[in-house]
Amino acid sequence: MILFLCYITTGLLLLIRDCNEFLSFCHKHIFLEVFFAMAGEVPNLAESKLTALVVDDNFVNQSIHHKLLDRLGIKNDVVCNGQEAVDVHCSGRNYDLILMDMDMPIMNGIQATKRLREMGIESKIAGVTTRAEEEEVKEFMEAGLNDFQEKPLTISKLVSILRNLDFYVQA
Amino acid sequence: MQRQVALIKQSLFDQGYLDEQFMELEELQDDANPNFVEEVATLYFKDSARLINNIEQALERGSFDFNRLDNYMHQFKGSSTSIGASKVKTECTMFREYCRAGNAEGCLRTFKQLKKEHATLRKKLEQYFQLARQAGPKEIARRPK
Repeated sequence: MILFLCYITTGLLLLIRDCNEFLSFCHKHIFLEVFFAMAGEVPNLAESKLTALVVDDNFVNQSIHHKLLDRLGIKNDVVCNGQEAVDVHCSGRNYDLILMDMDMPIMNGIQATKRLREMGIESKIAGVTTRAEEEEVKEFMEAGLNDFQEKPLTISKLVSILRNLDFYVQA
Repeated sequence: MQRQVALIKQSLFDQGYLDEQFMELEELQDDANPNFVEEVATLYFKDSARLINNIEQALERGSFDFNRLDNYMHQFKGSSTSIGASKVKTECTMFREYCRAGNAEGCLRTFKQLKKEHATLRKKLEQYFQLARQAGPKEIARRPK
């Protein structure tokens, strides 16, 4: 079994020999997972039983983000603004990951993130917005985000979020 | 017919109506949701029609509330970006620049062009989806669930 793994790893190393960075055995597998993800292979995280909450007022984005999470095997709910995100947590629901839009009516993403943190919610929160000015991102991050991605969200960006937040474990 | 569908799709990209984000959406289609892109496109055109209406009403009032107009256009741009509507997105960006500059004439001119691009995209996508449905699943990017 060990010889077989070494053979496979050696073969794959030949493919990535232009990479100058030395990768440990474990890091190689994570790198390869990402490589496959970027090459079109989509990881299935259904076994990890992750849950997520999509917080966005835009119906198009709600649909897309829901489907993206679905594709990765992550069960998810959708709410329309920050206030609903707070309310759903007040009702006792909890999620591993929250995808938080910034601009929303009633309660925006910055306010909602601050409120959730004040409530003691320790879920990983990733800001997802079209706003990418340094000051705007800084303000959003300082509200309590764990990560940030610029819209439009894609599979590779979502995988990046999952990897950054340590949800993406090697196979 | 499948070739026709492929040609129509290619022309949408070649003429700049769509960008790679549209392909990202097609990648999300699977056996459980074989018409996902068409469903999202339908949502987009419904939502964008509402925004166009809001903006028209705001412009007809005569007194330009550039903040309100910019907010509407921010939403419009967001949706357009998410679906890969490249030309519409470009007009949205231009409109917002005119808002920030307080240029009413620029806003009116750009809005007229935006509506034109939006209508053209809608017509072309409707044609594409209709043909794609007739052609069958081969021309739709599908992944087994």
